Amino acid sequence: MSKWTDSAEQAFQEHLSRTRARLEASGADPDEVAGDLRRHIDEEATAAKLPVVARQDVERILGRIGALAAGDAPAAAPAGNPSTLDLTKGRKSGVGRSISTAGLCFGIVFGVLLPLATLAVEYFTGMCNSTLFDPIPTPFHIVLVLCVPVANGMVLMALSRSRTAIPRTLGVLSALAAGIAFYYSIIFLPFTPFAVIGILAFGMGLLPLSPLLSFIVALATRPALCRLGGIRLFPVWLGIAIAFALVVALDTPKLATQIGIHMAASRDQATSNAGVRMLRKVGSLDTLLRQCYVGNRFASDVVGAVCSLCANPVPPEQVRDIYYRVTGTPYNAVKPPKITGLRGGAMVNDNEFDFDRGGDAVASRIRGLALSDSRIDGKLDADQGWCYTEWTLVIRNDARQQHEARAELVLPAGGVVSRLTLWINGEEREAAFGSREQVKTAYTQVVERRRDPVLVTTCGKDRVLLQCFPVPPNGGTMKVRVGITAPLLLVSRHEAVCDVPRFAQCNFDLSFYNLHSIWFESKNELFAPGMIYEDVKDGGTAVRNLLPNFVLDNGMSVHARRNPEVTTVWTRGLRATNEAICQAIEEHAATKLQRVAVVIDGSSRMNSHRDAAAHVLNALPEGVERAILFAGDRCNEVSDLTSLRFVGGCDNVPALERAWDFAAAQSNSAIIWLHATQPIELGATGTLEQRWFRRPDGPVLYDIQFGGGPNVVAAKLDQVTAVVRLAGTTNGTDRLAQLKDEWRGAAPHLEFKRWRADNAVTNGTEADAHIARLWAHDHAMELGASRKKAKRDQAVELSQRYQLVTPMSGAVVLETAEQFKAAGLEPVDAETTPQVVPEPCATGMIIIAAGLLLARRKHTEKSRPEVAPTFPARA
Amino acid sequence: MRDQQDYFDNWIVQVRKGVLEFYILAALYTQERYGYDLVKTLVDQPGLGVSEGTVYPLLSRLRVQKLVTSRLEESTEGPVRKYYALTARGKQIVDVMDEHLTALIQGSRKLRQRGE
Repeated sequence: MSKWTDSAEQAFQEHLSRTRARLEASGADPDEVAGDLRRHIDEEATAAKLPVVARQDVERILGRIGALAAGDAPAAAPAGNPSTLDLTKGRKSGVGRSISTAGLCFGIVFGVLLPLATLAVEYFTGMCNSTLFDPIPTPFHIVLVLCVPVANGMVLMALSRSRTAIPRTLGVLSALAAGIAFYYSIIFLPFTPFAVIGILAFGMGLLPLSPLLSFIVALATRPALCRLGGIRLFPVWLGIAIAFALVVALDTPKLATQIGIHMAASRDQATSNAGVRMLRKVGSLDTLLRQCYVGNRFASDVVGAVCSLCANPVPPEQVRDIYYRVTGTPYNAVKPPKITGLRGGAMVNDNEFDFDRGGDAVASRIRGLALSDSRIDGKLDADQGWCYTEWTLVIRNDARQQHEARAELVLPAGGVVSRLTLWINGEEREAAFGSREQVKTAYTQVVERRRDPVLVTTCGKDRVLLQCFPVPPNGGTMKVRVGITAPLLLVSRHEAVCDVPRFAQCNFDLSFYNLHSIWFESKNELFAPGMIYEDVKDGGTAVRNLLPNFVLDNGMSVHARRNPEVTTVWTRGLRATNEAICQAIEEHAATKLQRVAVVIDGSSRMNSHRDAAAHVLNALPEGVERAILFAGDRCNEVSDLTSLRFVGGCDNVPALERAWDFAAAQSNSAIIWLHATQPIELGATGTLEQRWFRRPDGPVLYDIQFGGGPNVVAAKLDQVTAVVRLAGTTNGTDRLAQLKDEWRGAAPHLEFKRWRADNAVTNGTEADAHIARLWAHDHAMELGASRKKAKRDQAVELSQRYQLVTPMSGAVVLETAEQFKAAGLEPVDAETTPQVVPEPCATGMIIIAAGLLLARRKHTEKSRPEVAPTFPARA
Repeated sequence: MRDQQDYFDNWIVQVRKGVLEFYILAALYTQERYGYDLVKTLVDQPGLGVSEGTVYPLLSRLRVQKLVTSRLEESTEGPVRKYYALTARGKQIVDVMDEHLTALIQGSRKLRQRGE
C-alpha cells in the first residue's frame, strides 16, 4: 500500500470538506464515501506502482474519476458540472468532523483528561495504594494505564480532523485501551456504587469511575473510527484478551506469591514446605515484604485484593514468619518496600510513628536514628575471676521527631548489668534498681511525658534490652553507659577468658563499619586477637583498638593469664556487715561423653560458616556415638556437610527435640547446636523446654552461634541450666580443643564457685566487690526460679541491694528526683557504683602516667612486638 | 444540429441518473464485488457513461437504504477491499426494477409500432 504525503492527505481532506455537505444531503454516509475514495486512490496508486501518493496524484485521480460528479447530485441540485460547485457554503460548526462537538468534549474529558488526572493523583499521592491496593505497582502498569488516555486522545483527534492515515495502528491501540480500561473497570467495580453515591451526595468520587468512563469512551469512538478508516478495526474482544494477558503476565509473580503464602501458612507441614519452596523459586519478595507490614489495606496489590476476596488473608504476623523462612532474613532487617509515586519513601513511614515505642521488642529500624559513638572500657582480674565492662553509647537522631532507641545487648556468659548511667544536660545520672514491674512502669510513665529516661531489663539468658527515650530530633544525641559485671571462664588454672559485649539487634542504624573503641586493662597479662597490646605502669597490661562492628558481631574475647596459686578469694557483702562472699575454683572430674547429637542450622546465614561448622564436627572425639541432624525445611540426619544446602530461615526446634531424644537415651550426653541467628520463633519451644524441665540432668546443650543477631529459641530456654553458651569467642570454636579434652574425659572441668559465709572474714585473698555481685546474681537467679513468692521477693530485694539487673529486677534512670519519688524508686549513690575509669581527680595523674608510659614505650618498642605473647600451654 | 445534440445530452443524463442504481444492483445480482472492481465494471458498460467517483456515494446510499451490505477483507494485492453484496430486499428491488424497465421499453416499442 502506498504512503500518502501530508500534502496529499491535505488535498484529500480539502476535497472531503467541500463535498461532505453535499454527500450528507444526498443520503450517503460521507465517512463511508471518504473511505471508499481513499481505497480507490490506493488501488490506482498500487496499480500504477506508486510508492508514494502525492498531492498531484490525489488531485489527478479525483479529477479523473469525477468524484461526486453529477451522478450523486441530489434531485434539487442545479444542472451542470457538479465538480465545479462550491460545496463549502454548506459548511457549519461540526461539519468536517466525524464526531459531534458534544461527543468530542465528552471523550476528551472522560476518556483523556480524567484517566490522566487519576493516574497523576495515584502516582503522586498513592491514594488507592494507601487505602485499598496498589493499582500501579510497577512502571509497566503505569505504561499500560497511560495507554488508555493516549489511545483515546489519538482516536478523538483522528475523528475530529477526519484523518485516517494510521487507522490500523489506531484500531489496535483503541482495542488495547478498551481492554486495559475494561480490566481496571472490573477491579474497581466493587467501589463504583460508592463512587456514584459520593458524586451524588458530596460531588466527589469521580476517580474510581475513571476506568469505566474511559472504557465507554474507547468503545463509543470505535464505530466512528471504523467508518472513517473504512476498515475493519482490531476486535475489541482481542484487545481485552491481550490487556488481561499482559496484566496477568505482569502479576504472575504476585499471583504465585499469594498462592505460595497461603500454602506456606498451611498447618500441614508438607504443604507449608512446598509453599516456602515455591516462594523461593517464583515468588515476589517485594510482594511478600509488603504483606509483612500492617496497614489499613486488605491487600497490597490487585492480585492480592482478588485473592483476599477468594480466600482468608494470611495475617501479617504469619507472613513475617514466612518471609523469614523464605529469605533467612527477618522482615524488619530490610528496608520497607517502596511504593510508586513521589511519596517515594517507605511503605510504612517510619518517620511518622514508632509502633513499638516503650514495648518489649527491638522491632524495626528507625530512619534517622544511628549509633554515633561507642566505647567499651573493661577491667578484669583473672586471679579473682571477674571482669567489669562499661559500654558507653551515644545515639544520634537525625529525624524530625524524637524517637526511642532500643538495643538488645549480648553480655559475657553469666554477666549481669550492675550499673546504668544517663547523661542529662551533661551531668551523669545513676539508675535506680527496682523490681521489673516497678522500673518498667516508671519508664513507661515518663516515656508518655516525653522526658529523659533509660531502662534496662533482661530479655533472655545473658541478654538485656536497653531502651532510651527520647533521643532528641534534628541531630540530637543521648548518651548512656551500661556497666556489666561478668565472671571469667576458666580455660585452665593458668588462663581465663571473657567475652566482649555486643549488639544482638538494635532499632538504630548500625553501619557495618561502625567503630567501637575497646580498651581492656588488667594487672594480669592480656591477649585478644586483633588488639594492640601495651603495658601499663603498675605492671599490668592493656589491649585496645578501634574495631568495626562486624568484628564484635563475629564474637570477640579477651584472654588473661592468671596465677594458678590463687584458688580462693573472699569479699564483703554489699550493704550488709555480717556476711562475706567466698569464691573458689571447683574441679569436676573428667567423664567421657557417651553420646552426642549435633544440630546444624539449615538457614542461609550458615552458608558462610560452613567451614567453622565442619571444624566443630572434626573436634568431636572418636568412639562417641553420634548423630548429625540438619535442621533445614525438614529435619534430616546427615553424615557430613558437603551436600548440605543452606537456604532461607529454618526452624531448629524439631531438630533439637530429635537431638534431645537421641542424646537423652544415654547418660553423660550432649547436644551441640551450631546455628546462625534465630530472630524469629517459627515453632513452639514448649515441648523442648518440657524435656529439660522433666529431666534437669538431661543432655547438656552447647549453644554455638555463628555471627551476630538474636536467638529467640535460646531465650525461651532461659531457665534451663543445661544450656551452655560457649564463651571464648561467640562462635565458641576456639574452646573446642578444651572441650574436646573434656569430652574425651582427659581433662577436668574447672569453674569458679561462689557462696555466702556468715562471717565477714574468711580464708584466702580479699577480692573486689564484683565477686559479691556475681554471687548475688547467681543467688537471685536461684531464688527467682522458685515458685514461692517469698523467695522471689528475696530475689528482688537481693537484686536491688546489689544493684543488679536480673529477670526479677531492672534499672531505670529518670530525669528528676520527683519522678523517682513518684515511682517509689531511689537512684543509687554514685559512690557505690562500680567503675572502670578513675574519677576526674585521678585523671591528671593518669595523663602524667600515660606520658611516662608513652616515653617508655618509645624506648622499648624496638625490642618488643605490639601483639601479645603466646600464652603458655594449658595445664 | 447543435440543439439536437444538447437535447440528447440532457436526456441521456436524466436516463443515466435513473438507471445507474439499477445497474449497480444488477452488477451485484449474481455475485459480490469489491468497490474498485464494481466501479471499473460499471465504467466499462457501453453507454452508461458513469464516472467512477459517482458510484461510491450511490453505494453508500444503497447501503444506508439496506439494499446492499458491505464487508472489509484484506487483500494481498493492495489495500483492504470493501465487498458489496445484494440484500434480499435489494434482489427484490432489482427484480421489480427489471420488470418495470422491461415493461417501459416494451410499452415504448408498442407505442412506436402503433404510430407506424
